[in-house]
Amino acid sequence: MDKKEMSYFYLDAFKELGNIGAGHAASSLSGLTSRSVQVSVPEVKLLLLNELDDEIGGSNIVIGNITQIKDEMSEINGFIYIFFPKESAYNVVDMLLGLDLGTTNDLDEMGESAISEVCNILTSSFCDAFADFLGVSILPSPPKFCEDMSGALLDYILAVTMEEVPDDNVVVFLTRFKCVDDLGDAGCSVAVGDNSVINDKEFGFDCYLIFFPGKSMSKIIDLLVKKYEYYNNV
Amino acid sequence: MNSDINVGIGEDSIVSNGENKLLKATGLGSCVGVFIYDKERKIGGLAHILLPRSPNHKDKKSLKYADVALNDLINDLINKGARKDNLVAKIVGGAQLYFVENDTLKIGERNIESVENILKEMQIPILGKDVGGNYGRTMEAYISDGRVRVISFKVKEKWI
Repeated sequence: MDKKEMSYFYLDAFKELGNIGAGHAASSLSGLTSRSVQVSVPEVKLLLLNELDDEIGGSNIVIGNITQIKDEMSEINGFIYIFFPKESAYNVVDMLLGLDLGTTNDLDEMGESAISEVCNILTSSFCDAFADFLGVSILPSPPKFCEDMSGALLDYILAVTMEEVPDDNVVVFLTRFKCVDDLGDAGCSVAVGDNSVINDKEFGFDCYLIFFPGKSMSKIIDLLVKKYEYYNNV
Repeated sequence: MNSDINVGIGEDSIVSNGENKLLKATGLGSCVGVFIYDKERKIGGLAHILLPRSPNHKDKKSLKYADVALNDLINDLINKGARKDNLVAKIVGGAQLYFVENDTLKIGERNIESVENILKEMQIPILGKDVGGNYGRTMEAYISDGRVRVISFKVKEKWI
């Protein structure tokens, strides 16, 4: 491969990798909530610190899980951060517990564990598919449930990532799941790539899955190249 | 106040009283927001710090590190007319939002420690702080009187 071919190859490969992970996670999410779920085209981005803040940070209250990945065998490390904006999380709890949509407006222990479970399932679906594609195993550590400002939750991930890779950029695999469900009917659809936020009159949800590969990005590239060479008998 | 300046991670910003703006750092978790100001001359700056110390002291010019950012902020303030002797600081953040296994991973604590040491070295007194805990904060600094408003999701809003 020459340089240009190489960069296209990477871009495609990363997209595919993100797609597979996100696709599996989306079907889990859809199964759990019995709703159709829209998946945005997964993006692999090289973001500057302050851009990241605009994209997913800030002071909005979110509910979700942070999972650290540490696998010494495959050398895949990093973080998976899954979160629902507060209102979305309440709607998901209603869907899971079979309550009328709009019932939950605070998280009790039951709600917390429901959301936590959804996030766990999404994390493992993502990891499984990701690992499978790369031909390695990825073992997530026990996830941490969290409810706070999105930007504040991000700090720790960034700090750990940046201590390993002292750079002002950070690589992220970013996917957004969305379900709009205005009357609680199962069938729903929105244009993919639609950026509008769920409003209070709708009972849908919004969910973000972000994978921070940190320093294992180079390992991921190695694995992708190996895979390419294997299939093309280079 | 007619507009805010949002100071993102690894950035710093300076405002003087004539500008009538407030400085804001949103979603401080383990990050620390350091507000340094000169009350007499009504000029102040805010730095949003991610990590306690730059790995190789001299060549890194990244403001996400406490040592680099504070140096830069204080020099800028002095260049813009603040007097070194008048400078005072207020610090916010450095929380630990979830359990970590290992002491070296307690980034919030390390950030606070580092910021406090650096300010002490530079002989800038810390007039107020709201640090630690297990929740995120947003801070807003008002240049006109040097007050800082701390907003969080778990605790009532606070002025320091």
